[in-house]
Amino acid sequence: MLTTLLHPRLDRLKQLADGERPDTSLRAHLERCTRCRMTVARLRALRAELERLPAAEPSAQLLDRILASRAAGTRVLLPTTATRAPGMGPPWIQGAAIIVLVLGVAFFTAVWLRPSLRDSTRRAALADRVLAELPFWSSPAFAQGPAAPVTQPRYAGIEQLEMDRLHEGEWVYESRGVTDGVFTSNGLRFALEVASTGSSGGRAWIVTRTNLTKAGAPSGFRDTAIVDGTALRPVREVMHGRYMRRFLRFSNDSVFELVTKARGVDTTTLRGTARLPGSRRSPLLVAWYPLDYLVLMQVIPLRRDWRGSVYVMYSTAIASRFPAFAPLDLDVVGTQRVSVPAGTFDCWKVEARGGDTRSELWVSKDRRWVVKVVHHTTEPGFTLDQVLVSAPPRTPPGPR
Amino acid sequence: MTRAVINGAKPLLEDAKSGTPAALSALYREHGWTLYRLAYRLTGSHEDAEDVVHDVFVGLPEALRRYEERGSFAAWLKRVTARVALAHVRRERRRREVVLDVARTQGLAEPVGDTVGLGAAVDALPLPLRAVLMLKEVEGYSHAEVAELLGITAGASRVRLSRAIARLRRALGG
Repeated sequence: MLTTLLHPRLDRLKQLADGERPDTSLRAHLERCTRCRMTVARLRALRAELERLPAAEPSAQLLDRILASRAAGTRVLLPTTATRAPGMGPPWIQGAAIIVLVLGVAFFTAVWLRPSLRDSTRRAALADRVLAELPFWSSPAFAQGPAAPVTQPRYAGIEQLEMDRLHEGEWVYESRGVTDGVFTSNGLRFALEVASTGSSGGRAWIVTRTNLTKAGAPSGFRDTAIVDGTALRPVREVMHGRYMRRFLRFSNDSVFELVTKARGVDTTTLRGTARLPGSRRSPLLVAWYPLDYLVLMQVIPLRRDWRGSVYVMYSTAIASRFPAFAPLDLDVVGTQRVSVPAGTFDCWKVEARGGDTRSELWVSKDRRWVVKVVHHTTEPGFTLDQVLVSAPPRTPPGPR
Repeated sequence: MTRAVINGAKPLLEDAKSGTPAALSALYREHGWTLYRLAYRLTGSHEDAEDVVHDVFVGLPEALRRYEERGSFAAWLKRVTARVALAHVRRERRRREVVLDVARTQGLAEPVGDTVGLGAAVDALPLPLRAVLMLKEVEGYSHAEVAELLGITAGASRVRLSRAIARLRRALGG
């Protein structure tokens, strides 16, 4: 009797609509209750409508797109376990993750940073910014697959480094486009800042490149990397552009890359993972533009007839004319005295070859500063030049 | 029955682990349409569904190294695809303003009531409810299968389906 006065729950009526047989009491209720009979009928109609929702078909080019991405070295880490993807756990997990990250940043700045850095608010802020801007990725988010085929370097990998020559400071460069050696376009300036820090594995370096306006103010592009103090291997890197962010996380043998491009409400996220080529004892450069060896040159024991190679990582997530990894072959080809806005320097002249591009570098003999770069582009007659505008005081390097 | 769906057919999966184009192509021809359909039901977008399937097959060789070969390979692949699709939807919904694409939804279904089309009403559902609704009512998975795909319990699947239907009925004026 009570059943006929109370209406069944919606999920019970749904089961009836799906074809399940009603029990005696439910059948009796339906015989007396017009409302529930109509509900069952509407649920059947709704299911019929849902089943008629059409589905599109995959395009004929999808398989080609998949194969092209694999051939280009793009890799995607799939969630094959029950581990939740980053940022999608329940609030308490996200809260715990934030607490861990905050504690990690606090630990890093309070314990790992050297006393000189604790005194330097700006350098501590660099570390805070790098770590705080990284997404919280769980440790399984590392590539396990082999890297795409990489061109072999011309020379032996650079493993002999004079790391104690690297020192803190800020260098400002001006870039210019030169056409046929005559026309010089208005270029941009960028500042390269090097700060030392510490880690459980020893000394590390924070290298920041900031694009500047003509007035010397930051223009919106910033690239910050933490590199280890043993072999100049990257640990983390964060790049901010006007429309793009790029995060890189390195392990001993792998890299995970996340690129987010946003214009207005349209956002694209690209991911890539790869195994790192080459020796772990050799530096690895991370280049968006193939000009970022300014720190590397400070620690190479340059001499007449010296030569060596390193690998440069471009991108594992973005397809471009550059491969994910490519060797950079360096060769001391002579000496030359060079005058730039920052002064006059006696230099080693180094030729750097990467794929189909070639650069000439002038590296001061005393401090191994890159004072001038001429990058020969693939466009005939056009070069990108960089000259040193300002540098730290020319104090002698510390004892080895 | 093709080699790919037989758990004992190791050669194709072994080739796929190394990322050979022929093996990936064979797996795509075997499973691609099913996975696309699953991704489409979860994302509601042709472009997003293709992105999901693209990501699944691009990441498949490396993922196969973690495949433990318990149960059906096809079922494992569907679970992976469902997770990728749900992650994709969550990411996109966080970044974009949710706009009901009236033109798209009108092309999907004829209006049922005087209020709003069925496709638009489905699109407006929260993702957890929409996913269960599409998998159970449209694709015909059982609650147990839905639970396995989405990583929830069968009971939660039933509850979410009820809530989805209740919301649809209110939206459609029924």
